Amino acid sequence: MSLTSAIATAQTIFSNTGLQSAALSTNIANASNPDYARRVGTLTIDSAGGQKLSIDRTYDNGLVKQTMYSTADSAAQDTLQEKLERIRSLLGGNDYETSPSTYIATLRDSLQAYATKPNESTLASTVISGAQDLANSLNNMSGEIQSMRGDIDQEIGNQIDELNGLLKQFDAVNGTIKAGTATGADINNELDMRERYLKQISKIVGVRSFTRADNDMVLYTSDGSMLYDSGARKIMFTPQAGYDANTDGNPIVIDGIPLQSGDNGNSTAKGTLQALLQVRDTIIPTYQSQLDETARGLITMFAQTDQTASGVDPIPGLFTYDGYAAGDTLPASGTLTNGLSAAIKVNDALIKSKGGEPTLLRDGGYDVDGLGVASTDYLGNTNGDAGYSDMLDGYVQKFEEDQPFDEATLLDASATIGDYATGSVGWLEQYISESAAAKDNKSAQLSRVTEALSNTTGVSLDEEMSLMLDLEQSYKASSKLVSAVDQMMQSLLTAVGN
Amino acid sequence: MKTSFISNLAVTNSMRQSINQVQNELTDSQREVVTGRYNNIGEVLGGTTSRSLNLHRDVNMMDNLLATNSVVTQRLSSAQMAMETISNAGQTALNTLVALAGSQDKTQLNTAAQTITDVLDQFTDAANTSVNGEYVLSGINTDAKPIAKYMDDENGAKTVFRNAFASFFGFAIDDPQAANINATDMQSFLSTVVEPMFLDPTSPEYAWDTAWSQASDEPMTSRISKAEVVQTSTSVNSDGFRYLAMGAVIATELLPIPIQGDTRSTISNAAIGYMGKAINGVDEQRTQLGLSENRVSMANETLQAQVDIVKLNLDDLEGVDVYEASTRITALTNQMEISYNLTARLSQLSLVNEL
Repeated sequence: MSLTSAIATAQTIFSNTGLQSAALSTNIANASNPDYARRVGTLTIDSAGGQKLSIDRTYDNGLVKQTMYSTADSAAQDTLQEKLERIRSLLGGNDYETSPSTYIATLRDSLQAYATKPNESTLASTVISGAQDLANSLNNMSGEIQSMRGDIDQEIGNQIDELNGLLKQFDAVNGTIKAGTATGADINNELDMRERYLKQISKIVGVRSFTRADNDMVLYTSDGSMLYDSGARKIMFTPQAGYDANTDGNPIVIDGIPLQSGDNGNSTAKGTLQALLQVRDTIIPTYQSQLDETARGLITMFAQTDQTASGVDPIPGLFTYDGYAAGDTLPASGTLTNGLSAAIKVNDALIKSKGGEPTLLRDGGYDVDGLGVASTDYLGNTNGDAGYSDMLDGYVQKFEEDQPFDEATLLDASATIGDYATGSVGWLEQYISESAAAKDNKSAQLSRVTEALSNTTGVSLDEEMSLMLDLEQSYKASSKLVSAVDQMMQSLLTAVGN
Repeated sequence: MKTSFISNLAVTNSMRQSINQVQNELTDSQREVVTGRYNNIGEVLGGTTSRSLNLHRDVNMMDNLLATNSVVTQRLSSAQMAMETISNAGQTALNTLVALAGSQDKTQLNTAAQTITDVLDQFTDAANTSVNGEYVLSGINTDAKPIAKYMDDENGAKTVFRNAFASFFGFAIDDPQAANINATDMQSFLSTVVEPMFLDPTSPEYAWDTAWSQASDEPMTSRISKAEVVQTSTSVNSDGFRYLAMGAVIATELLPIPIQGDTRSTISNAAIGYMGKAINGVDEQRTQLGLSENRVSMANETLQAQVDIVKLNLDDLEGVDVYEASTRITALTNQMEISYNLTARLSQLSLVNEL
């Protein structure tokens, strides 16, 4: 080997060291960038025996996909949990102070007190204000959860905007990668970016990715509808103007196929969109139907019934509802009437501030909201006795009696009103508790997978440092080599010169 | 070549996550130590939350029943006291009438008539006993004073009686002709006019409802436990009170008028009979309410026992072992300190410092 070739080798070493140091410093610079995959300089020898250094990006396709799935699962569960917590916050704190079940229990207790001392009009007023609290609580709950559905529509709209934006950026990067792969340019930074967009898209909607020739990527949603193939597919969604118990939400249509909603407390939803659909289309409507049945149960329980065997139909008593007109039949027992919890109210005939008289509850035979339907057929206290407690005690008794409820509400088909209302709380808590456990599991899984990915493709400063020492050594060695060759040349030249 | 399967990001993240987790657990445990209940009952119990709510409702309901039972007890004991007074007054009247034993002595008669007028007043006062704004012997018509004052002729009872007398005998009660009334006529007056006036609602003479009593026949009833409803007051319309009023009225009205000895004996014997029935009748009502009082105290005992049991159940369901929670806090605090220490040390550990 000639001295010239030794110099040439030393030069290669300098150039390689330079390239590797560049990669190393990029690694160090990105040590805390979660979307960065470590670059490695790989030395290969080509067929001609020449050394060639290429800078490669470490990757683990399996772990990247796993991260995407876990991100989608975890984001969906987080959203579900957050929405459920919001519904629960309507029920008050650990004692469920503002839940209808609590107001029902209070109403029962004040009725019992009134039945024991039926001549005391303040006790009558207590019962009526307890009933008003209960009706208000049902109205509020119904209003709040329906407006939540409206908020969810808005959120879906925002997320779809975000998704469209991401797909657009994804498209740009994917284009560069395709072109770069074809021409052999350095596309490592673009690959990092594409991975980052994939993770962000996964948060919104679960995706599966396939890589084709030239590193071109195709995206499907976890449902199987096409999300991206050489261009983003169309996503269509129209928010509803307003929600009530009878409104159905509009679907999210991706490439012509409606997106499925999630299911269960441990949700099957992948990505926040499916979780939002689950809350909007399954959880809130079911909870609403339970509130509606609670309201219906109360109206039925307190209806004024025939006291004289004259065969008159029942009319509303303590509780009535917006939209009741003289001659209407009351909502059928055991059958869901949508939106009743928003419409339930206390009969004006019993409210002092509305010109009514609370003590009429004791006697029966009173009017409903000034409709003029009062009749002595419903009158229990025919002699106007102040100590008459039969009707009041009858109401108290009804709190202990099972009544039929619609099975479609997913609760007991036959229960006391109190048990039905607490059952509804139990249903929600069961959902929340399943969801909370699932949330813990899924976020633990996500952090494990992210950690594994980070450990595989992330940067360890210590390792970079030790590599730097290597580089330093090889740099020193090659400079030594150059100076040795130089000295040899020098001594040769001196010998020739003399 | 990659030699280490650990990245700096993973190390710092895992430290941060573990500190977060410990901090969350710490705040939860702190709250649990203070309240003695789970920090988030719903999340721990899930679907069982409805059972916890049902038990809370039951406890409240039973506490409420205990409170309303105290109202019931008060009403019952007031009614008992009133009836005891009435029964004692009846006994006084009976004793007086028996002691009279056919005496024709004017002074003695007047004294007896006076005593019985007092008895009538005592009866009226006691029958009108009111507690918490309720007349306890008025049945369910608790707003109305059950018995009007006879001597003041408040509701016209006195007039009714005197008119009946006048129309039966053809002259007023204070007319000297009364001396001519014989025992048979008097007996007939008592059984065909006076008795129906007080006792027989179908008779045209019947005046109890209009001139005497404002009470309702129906006694008050109250729920004293989840399943039990008992009678908690009584009505002066029950027979005992009517007999007492009747006996006292004929004694005060008819004994002092100038009549023959055997006629007076008829009256006084009738009055003695009525008083006897009155005392029996009133005592029967007292027994009835005594039974209710007994039921209430039994119900209270049962309720109290149930409240205690349910509270224990609730404690099992949603209670936290406070000692366990506080040792957990100690453990967590230690864990956090270790975590902080480690974080500080690990972040100092870097090859950079050694080069």
